Amino acid sequence: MTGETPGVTQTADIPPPPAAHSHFGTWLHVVTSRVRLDARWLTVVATMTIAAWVFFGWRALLSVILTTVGATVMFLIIARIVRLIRRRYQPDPLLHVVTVAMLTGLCLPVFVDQLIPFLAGMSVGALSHVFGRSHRVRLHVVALVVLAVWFIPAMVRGNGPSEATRTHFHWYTNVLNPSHVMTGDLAADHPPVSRQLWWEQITPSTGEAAIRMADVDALILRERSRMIEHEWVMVNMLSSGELPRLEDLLLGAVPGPVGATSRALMLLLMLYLIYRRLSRWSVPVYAFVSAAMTLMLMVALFADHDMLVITRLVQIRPAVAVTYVTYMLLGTPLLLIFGILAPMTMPITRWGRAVYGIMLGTFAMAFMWVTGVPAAAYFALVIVSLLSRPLDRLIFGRFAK
Amino acid sequence: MESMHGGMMFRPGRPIRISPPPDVLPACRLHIRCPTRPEVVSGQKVEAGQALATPTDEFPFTRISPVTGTIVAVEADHSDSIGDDDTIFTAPPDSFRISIQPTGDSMTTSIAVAPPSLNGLQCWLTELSRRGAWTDSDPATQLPCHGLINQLMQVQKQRPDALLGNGLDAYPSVADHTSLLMSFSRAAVQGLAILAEIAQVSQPKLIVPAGSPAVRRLRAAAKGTSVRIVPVQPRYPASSTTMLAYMHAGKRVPSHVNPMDHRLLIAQPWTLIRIGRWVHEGKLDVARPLIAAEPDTEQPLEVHWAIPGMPLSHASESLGKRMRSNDHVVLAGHPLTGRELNWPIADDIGPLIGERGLTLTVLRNLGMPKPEACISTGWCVDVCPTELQPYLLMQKVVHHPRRRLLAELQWCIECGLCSHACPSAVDLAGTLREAKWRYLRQPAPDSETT
Repeated sequence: MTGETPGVTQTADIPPPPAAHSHFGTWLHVVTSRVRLDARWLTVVATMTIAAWVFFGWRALLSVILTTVGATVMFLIIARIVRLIRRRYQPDPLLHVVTVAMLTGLCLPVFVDQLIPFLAGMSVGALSHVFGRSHRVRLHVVALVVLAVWFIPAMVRGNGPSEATRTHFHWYTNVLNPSHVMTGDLAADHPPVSRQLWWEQITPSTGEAAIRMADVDALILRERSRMIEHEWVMVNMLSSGELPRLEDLLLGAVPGPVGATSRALMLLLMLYLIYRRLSRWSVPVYAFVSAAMTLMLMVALFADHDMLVITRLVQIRPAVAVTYVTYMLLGTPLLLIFGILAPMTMPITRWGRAVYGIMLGTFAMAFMWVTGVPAAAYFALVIVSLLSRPLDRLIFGRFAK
Repeated sequence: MESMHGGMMFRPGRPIRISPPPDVLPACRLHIRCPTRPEVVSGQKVEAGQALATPTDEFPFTRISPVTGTIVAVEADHSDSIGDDDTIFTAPPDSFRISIQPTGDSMTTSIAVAPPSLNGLQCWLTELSRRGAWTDSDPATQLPCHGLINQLMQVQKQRPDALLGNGLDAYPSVADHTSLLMSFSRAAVQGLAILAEIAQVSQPKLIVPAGSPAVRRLRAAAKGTSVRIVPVQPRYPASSTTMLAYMHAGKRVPSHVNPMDHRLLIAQPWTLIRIGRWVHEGKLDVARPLIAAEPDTEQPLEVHWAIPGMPLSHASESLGKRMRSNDHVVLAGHPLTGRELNWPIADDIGPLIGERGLTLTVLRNLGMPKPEACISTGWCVDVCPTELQPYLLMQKVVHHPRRRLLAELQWCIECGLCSHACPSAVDLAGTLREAKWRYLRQPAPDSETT
């Protein structure tokens, strides 16, 4: 025994390992094949697609299909081109790209112009060659494309994120008809407003099969300070139907990303992913806990003064405080991001996942609070996904400390 | 007791009752490998228990003839590479091969020699060394340094803190250790108590799988002795030296080092049973059990008694047939870490029975998936019992082969779980194992860069 590391035998006469392995690391078949693993992800997105179809009608289904087609076409074209240059190029399996593309379509609202999801899909197809799950740099492609869809119009106009904030709220004013909740469709019987760019056009509010309902997450974030400044604001919003009831949120009769309309379904799918070990409990749990704690530390801007959210929540009635926190966590796209999207780029180590969840929750809530834009949460996912691999490199186990 | 990270649960195998070894086995030519030049010559007659070669530093035990017979050949053995080793589990490189033809039609399975008196480590060590190998060692690594004699030599220098009997099956679906312990429970407990007395350990522990029928028998046998039976969840690879040391003694022992370097004495069931039977019956077993299993089927375990040096095909004709068939693969060891036994390897003798390793696994219908790129599921990290990051470690090994990564690689216990869990079928276990041994054989640089 020599050297600084205990137990390291540093001599040249160590006998060779006797029980040599064969051509393969183990003689047992792998626990789950990669195809089966991809199929499980596909099950999740297919379920979300069905929910989107049920709640938003054929247009939502078409949107998801177009995203998928766009991604597949672009992915295959680029793969063919790259193979001409690098013959041994092995891209991600198509099944995975289809899953990512469907997920992207499910994170978007229903647009009148179906070219937008198609273009989003093409972006996914192209980016999958650069930021695929086997690549060295991990970056959440879905989050990046969703961000692009929201922020490119604002950037083109040159008005910055504040424009995105305004349009984000405005766009979603009408999606569902209560009488068509289960079979509904969106009628586009009015031409788009002329001031909008072509990719901003969505279903107009006067459609026969449309409901005048604000997008929950944009509404909550717009009224984030006012809802606790005066207790009656949230009560009025709930009683007037402006803010959907919690059971509606859970069931799925609310506008927003077509795949995430039902929070109950999100929860179920999140549990399924955890059960199948495609996700880990630590990511959503740490993310939600840190998001809630971050929320408490945010500064609410009232008419005459500013105050920490936690300070104000202590002052108001507990029922209102709990409802407020619940809406801030469930009404915003956090469940979709923490439960379904985040596992795709989570670190592989236990502590890495914990740090990833904490950072994701903190950043997502902070960005949303500061900007007032729900899509800002996707920006948090883009950032922490980039940190996924470096986090793994920083962490060592109990033995190899 | 420390908790185990990762690991995996497998369907536990059913232990079977193993009859004591028969007094005689049908005679066959034995091929004994010696690490040094033998002291016998061709044509010489040898008695059972007679020395064939003297101990060396690396193999500190005498090579003995297990039977009475005639030396028919002494030749240099050049099959020194890892994969081409034709002895089950191991044989030293640059060795000699001695062929012995037994006298008569049968071979006795034990030699009549009195055990040493109970007091005195030196006395035992000398006697054990004179009686051949006691290398029924760590089922995961099968390393010589884990053999009983190597460990007891260290006991001379410092007393162990703990003595553990490893009653956990190497691979839980093949109940090899538990079958032995269930069948020879009294001898196993007695053997452990004797070792504890020799090494002056007050309360030796026999670690057994919880829920096994062996537990009740062992508890009954341990009544009135200092031996403590400790049932634990049989989570693979809890039986490896590293995990045993960590979980039951709180020590971090790399799998390739002698546990006594960390003041821990670990003994395997057949070693304990052999000592117990030696003291109880006054004769030393030279025959050893060989347990064959088909883990994917409900077939019960096959138990054969064999003498080291015997061709495997002689110990079991059916195993020899399956080894030669295209539908089966016979492994030395269990399916997560075992090595394929080929036929024929040298001189049409086929694989020989060695001193190490209890188990042979028969597998069929193999169709291994093609390795693909890692998709970062993290399952390899989840199952790794020593909390390594197998994929990241493999990347370091592949992309930075000049870096010394022993500080991490030494904790790879070669359990094979990372490869088993990987949905992309990346050969993590094989790559890490190869890298680990490459680093270990390299001369140490002045300072290790990790």
